[in-house]
Parts: sequence; structure tokens; C-alpha cells
Amino acid sequence: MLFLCLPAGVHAGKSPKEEPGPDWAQLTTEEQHILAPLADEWPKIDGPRRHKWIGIARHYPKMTPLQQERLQSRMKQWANMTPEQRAQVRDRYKKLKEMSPEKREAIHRKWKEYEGLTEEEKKNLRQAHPARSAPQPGKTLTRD
Amino acid sequence: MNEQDFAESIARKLDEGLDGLPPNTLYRLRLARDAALSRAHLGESEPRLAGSARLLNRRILVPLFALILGLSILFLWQQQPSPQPDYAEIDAQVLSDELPVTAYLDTGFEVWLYHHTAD
Repeated sequence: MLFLCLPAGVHAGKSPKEEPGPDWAQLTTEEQHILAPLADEWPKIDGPRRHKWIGIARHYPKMTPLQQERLQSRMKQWANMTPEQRAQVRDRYKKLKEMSPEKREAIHRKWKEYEGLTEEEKKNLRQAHPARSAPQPGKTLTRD
Repeated sequence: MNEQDFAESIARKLDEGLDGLPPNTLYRLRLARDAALSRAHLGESEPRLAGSARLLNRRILVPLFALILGLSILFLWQQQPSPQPDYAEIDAQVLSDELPVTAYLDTGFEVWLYHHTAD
């Protein structure tokens, strides 16, 4: 009997995946201020990711003004990326963090040099990549 | 005549008189015998049934209950959603880092970096 009753009992409640998370209006004024770039995206973001963004907002006061500016300027782009792209970035970021400060600095320098290239030069470099695919931010807003 | 002989003589007399018993008495005797026998069987069978029930409990019901309990726990465990990794900290770091997010996904930068690091 116990076993037979279980499925009904379990499915009666909402699983955490279905939990929609707090609405924009339910956020505190401070959270709304920090997450302002995501105001339009918020209804499309699922519950677990809403909680994640609230978690990110908790780190915000501990950041320098420059870091805060970077975070806010990249929020929308991050939210519009696919889960695979986010996973790839996290993975590569972790690898970068494991490198020596000198190597990290060299990579930052190389990025600045790369940014200085013309669009044509960048395009040629992208075509030379074995995957031959330029980054295309995804449109889905699925969970991480 | 001792006691044994006396008892045997009574039994003999009773046996001799059996043929002469009226049908009504024989019928009542048969009913009394049947009633006595069924009481005796009932008394015997009750403990046997109780024993069987205990056996059923021990050999079937207990393992069956344990199996149901085990399956229920397994089912509940499978229903539990796998915990969502907490990306808040790493995402906060990635998004506030000096290197922009685009750099990690730009295949052109990957090629640029590869060639210039190989030099």
C-alpha cells in the first residue's frame, strides 16, 4: 500500500525544477538594482537560475567598482548564452585560474592584442580554427 | 471377584445389551459421538492454524514487507532531484574578471593565442 501510494504523493507537489523562483517584484530593492540589466529577461529565466542570480547579487557588494561594472555589463550576454557555452566558459576560466600569474597576464595581453586586430583579420583567424565556427550566443534561456 | 473382573463383567453385560438398544438411543449416541469428535478436531485444528499463520508471517509477510519498504525507499531516492550545482560564486568571478566572456568562446582568439604562444 505504501509503495502504491508513493507516486501520487510525490507527484502531487512541485519538484524543485518546476519551482519558478521569485518574481522580479519579490526581489529586494538592492537585488533589483544589482540585477537591473536582467529585468526584461527575468520572466524567461527558470527558478534555479533566478536563485543563482540572487546568489551572484550577494557577491556584488564585495566587488570593486570596476568588477561591479564588468558584472553588470556582461549579465545580459551571459543570460542569453546556451548552457553549453556557459559550461565551456566556466571550464576554461577554471583552467586559467590554475595557471601562474605570469601566464594569466600573458593571456590578458594577447587578448588586448587580438582586440586590436581588424574584423577581417579576426575572421581569417576564426576560419583557420579546426571547428570553423564563430561564437554564436544562444537564444535559449534554459537552466545551467 | 476383584475389581478388574468386576469391570470386565460390566463391560460384557453392556456389549451384550448393545444389540437390544432402541434406534432412538442409537441415534442420540451417534449424535453425541459426532459432536464429541468435532469438538476434538476443533481443539486440534486451532493451534495448527495459529501455527500456520505465524509461519506465513515469518516466511512471507516479513520479507514481503521488507521488499516493499526497500522498493519504496529506492523509489523516493530516485525521485529526489539531483542537487543543482551552485554556480553563483564561479559565475560572479567569471563575469567580473578582467578577461571578457567572449574571449573564452572566440575561436579566432584561440588560434591567435595558439600561434603566438607556440613562437
